[in-house]
Parts: sequence; structure tokens; C-alpha cells
Amino acid sequence: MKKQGNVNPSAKRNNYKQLPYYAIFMGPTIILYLLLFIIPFIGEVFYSFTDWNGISSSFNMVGLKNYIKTFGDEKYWYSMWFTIKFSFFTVIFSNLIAFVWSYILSHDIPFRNFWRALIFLPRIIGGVILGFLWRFIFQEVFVQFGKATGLSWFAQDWFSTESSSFWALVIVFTWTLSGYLMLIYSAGFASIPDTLIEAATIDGAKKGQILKDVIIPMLMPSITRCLFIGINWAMLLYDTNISLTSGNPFRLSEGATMNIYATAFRTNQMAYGAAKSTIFVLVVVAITILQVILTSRKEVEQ
Amino acid sequence: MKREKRVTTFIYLLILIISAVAVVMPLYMTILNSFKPYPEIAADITAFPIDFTWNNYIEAWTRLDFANSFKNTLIIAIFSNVGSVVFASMLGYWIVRHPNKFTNSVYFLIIAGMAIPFQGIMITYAKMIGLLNMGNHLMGVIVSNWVFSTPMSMFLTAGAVKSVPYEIEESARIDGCGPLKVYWQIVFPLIKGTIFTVACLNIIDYWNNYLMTQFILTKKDMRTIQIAMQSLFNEAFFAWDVALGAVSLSILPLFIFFIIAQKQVLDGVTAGAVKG
Repeated sequence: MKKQGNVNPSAKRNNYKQLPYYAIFMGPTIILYLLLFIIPFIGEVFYSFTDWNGISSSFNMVGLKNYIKTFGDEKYWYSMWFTIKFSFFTVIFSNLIAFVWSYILSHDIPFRNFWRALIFLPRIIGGVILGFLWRFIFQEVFVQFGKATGLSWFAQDWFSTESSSFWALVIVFTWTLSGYLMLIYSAGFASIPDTLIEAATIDGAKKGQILKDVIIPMLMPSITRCLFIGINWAMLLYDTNISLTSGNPFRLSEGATMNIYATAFRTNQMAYGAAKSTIFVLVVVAITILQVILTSRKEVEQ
Repeated sequence: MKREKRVTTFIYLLILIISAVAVVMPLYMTILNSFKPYPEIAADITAFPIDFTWNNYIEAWTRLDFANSFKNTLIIAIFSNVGSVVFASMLGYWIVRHPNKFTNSVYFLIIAGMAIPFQGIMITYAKMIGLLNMGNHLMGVIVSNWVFSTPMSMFLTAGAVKSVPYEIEESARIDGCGPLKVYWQIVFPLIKGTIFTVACLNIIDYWNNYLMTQFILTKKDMRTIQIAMQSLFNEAFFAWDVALGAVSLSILPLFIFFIIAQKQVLDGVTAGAVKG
């Protein structure tokens, strides 16, 4: 952004004359961003150190009390661990599938654009509808299919055990996420110069060797990005959680957001919920930073 | 060599067909069974409807108050994009063309905001909506969407503006055009491709938003499709046949949108992928 020639030379000289334009171009977004993002964020952190219940106008500072309470809250850490486990499997599966798809579609395949659009299709279904649609698939379609074929895994009583709810969520998220990631990997494949692969072929490299030594190193930026998107998406699990499993059985399939929501809005412990959500943000940020550091280090090595 | 190539293409196609079945099966099952009364669904879920019926759709239409919830969702999806197309793009442009301490810190602050998920602000945000008197106003959702899509839109606009040479603007300025005119008549037409593809992608997210919307729109006649669906599934009187009609009905608008704007949506993902 500092490059000369890109910059308005009059910008520095008479700043005061430009003030109205600063207000017009930047004002609306800055004001809204402050009101609906910065202030709520600061408020969330601030309230986590109080005993505010969300309704009364008075509250006291209680220091780290809410945080200490959170650290002793087994249900909360269970839901956090559930979310992390869920994200781990979802991200691995969807990235593997997306990678295979984009690899195949990087070749000269008949009806390429048709396949791309079709595979992307699940991404347009979201929110609670995604969960409701799949609840039908699990509870009715899978069960009938399992009974007809004798495959007991399909015929199980979905959402009545912790593991069936867990894998149901992983399946749904993999279904909806893979096509989206496929497009991002495809953009990565398109950026690999053909000459590079041709040169490797002429040197006698096998397909597997090309994949391992040419394509994957060249795709590291896409891999970093897809893991980032996947983690961010899966960790924030909520809509599908309430619509597909609603925490069943016995709140055993509850993600972190569901737990925070219940604390803050069902039992009206706003300050306690604020502490939980602040810890949650720290966990999400820490995991993403760790992932970006680990994968982008590979980018440098190539 | 040629034969070998044909075999690989065949294997690739086979994998794609199996994938396509996995992708489409849930949708197909939902739509197929939405035309059956429940006893038929329970009897054989894969069979074609014997007693073909529109009843599930008619029932779902009234239970969801579909005409109204569709209208609300559509207004939100369209006007939410004004934020990224108008305000966030103007912001991105101004920051690129006027680099100084102030604009750089604004840029940094907004980009850093991307790291904080909505979950991290939602408790005070819900309170803020009440304070700003935005509860049960579509405008509340629209303005919130502006805010939450600002980082990405600003980032992409800033990237696009950097590729527009400043000389193009200069000649217009010498002719006496003010900054607003310069932006809207000269710069915007050059970068609108990027902005509109991203806007098309945004529509999907605005359409499907649930968590944030439910803090704002609580009244019955203010419901969006997502909110109406949630309450339909929570009703005591629940039957899969009507529910399937409701699911199919809710998916349909976005499905049509995707068929029309397919290219823009797919390009939007790619644009975000390359620049981000």
C-alpha cells in the first residue's frame, strides 16, 4: 500500500480539506463497526469480570471469579473437547475429499463445469435447514436402508448415543464443506504452471512422484487456506448442532457454542457466559494461529 | 499410452459419479418423499409416490407463513449486499488511496476483527441490539450483515483498487471531478466484477443465517425462512411429510438462484481464495 504512484499525492498536503470525504468514505462503516463489533467485543470481555445478569442495570466487579468457575465446569470443557474433536475429523475428511475431487477435475474430464457445480451444490444449504434435512436422512432413510440391507450401522438408533450423534455431525459437515474446499483447491491447481508438470514428466517422474514432489508443495498455500477455513467453520458449529442433534442424548453432543448460549440466555448468567465465550475465542484463535504457523512453514521450505 | 489415458479418465469419471450420488442422494430423497403422505414414506422410502400429493407443500406453506418469511429473507439478502458493495468498497478504496496512520490503523483493526467469531461478541451484541432499538426490524439484520461482511469486502476491494493505476483518476480530477464522482464513475466500474462475484456468494450466507438473526427477529411476522423452520420443527405437532415439504420449499429459492448465478457464485469462491 505504500507504493508511490498508487497514492493520491494531494492526500498529505491538505488533509483538512479532505475531512468531509473521510467522513463520507469511511464514516458509515467505522461507526457501525464500532457499535456492532468493537463495543460488543470489549463489552463481552469487560462483563466477564462482573456478576452482570443481563437484566439489572447494576453489577459488581468480581475479578476472575467467572473464569475460575469456568475452569471447574466439566460440561463446558466436555463441549469444548467435543467441538475440537468434531473439527479435527471434519477438517481431515473434507480436505481429503476436496483434494481428490480437485485433483481429478484438474484433468481433462468431460463435463468439467457440470461436475464442479454439482459437487458445490450442498454448500448452498445452510443454517438449521441443513440439520433438519439430514435428520430425515439419518432417522428415516438410513434406518430403512439398514433394515433392508442388514447393515446394522445404518439401522442404528441415531442421536441416541454419543458416538452416533458425533459421527452424524461429522458426516453432515463433510458433506457441506467438501465441495466448497474443492473450488479453493481447484484455484490452486489452476495456478500450477503446466510446464512444471510437463518438465517432470519428461524427466521420467511417475504420477505419484509428481503429486508428492511437484503438486503438493505448489499447493501448500491452498492447503493452509483450506485448513484455516475448515477449522474456522467447524469450530463455530451451532445451527446444525441445534437442528440435527439438539445436544441429544443428554447434552452429550453439545458443541461449545450451544453450551455458551445455554449459559447466557437460558439460565441468564450473562457474565458467566461472557467468560466462557472469551475463553472459547482464545481457543479458536490459538488453534488457527498454530495451524497457520505449522502449514505456512511448509510453504517456505519448498 | 492413449489406452492408458482412457482407463484413467474412466476411473476418474467413476469416482465422480459415486461422489455425485453421495452429494445428491440426501436432496433427492428429501424431494422425492415430499410428494408422499407419511404412510407411504414409512412403507418404502425409495419408491416413487403412488398417491402423488401437493398437500405437504400446501400445509408447509401456511405453517411457515412462507409468503411473508420469504419476503423478509429476500429483503435481507438483497439489502445486506448494499453494505459490501457500497460502504465497504468505498472504505477499501479510500484506505488504499490515502495511506496514513489513521487509515492504516482502521484497516488493521478491521482485518484483525476477522479473527473474532460472532460467538465471541454475541452476548453483548444481543444487548446492543436492544439499546439501538433494532429488535424486530429487518434493518437490524441488514446493518449487522454489513458489519460482519465488512472485513472480507474491504479486503477484496482494496486488492482490486491497487491494480487500478492512479493516472486514470488523475485526469478525471483535473477535469474537476470530486472524489465521489471519481470513485463511482471511474474506479468502481473497473473493479465491480470482483465486488459482484463476492456479493453473489454473500447472498448464500445472508440467506442461511440463523444464530445472529434469532437475536433480532423474534416476532412472528418478522421471521425469516430459517427462523420459521426452527419453530416448525419445534412444534408439538410434528410430521415428517409436512416437514419434508417445508425443507424442499425452503431450499428451492436458493437452488434457483444458484442455477442462474452459478458462474458468479463459483467465481466468488475462487476470488476469495486467490486474494485472501
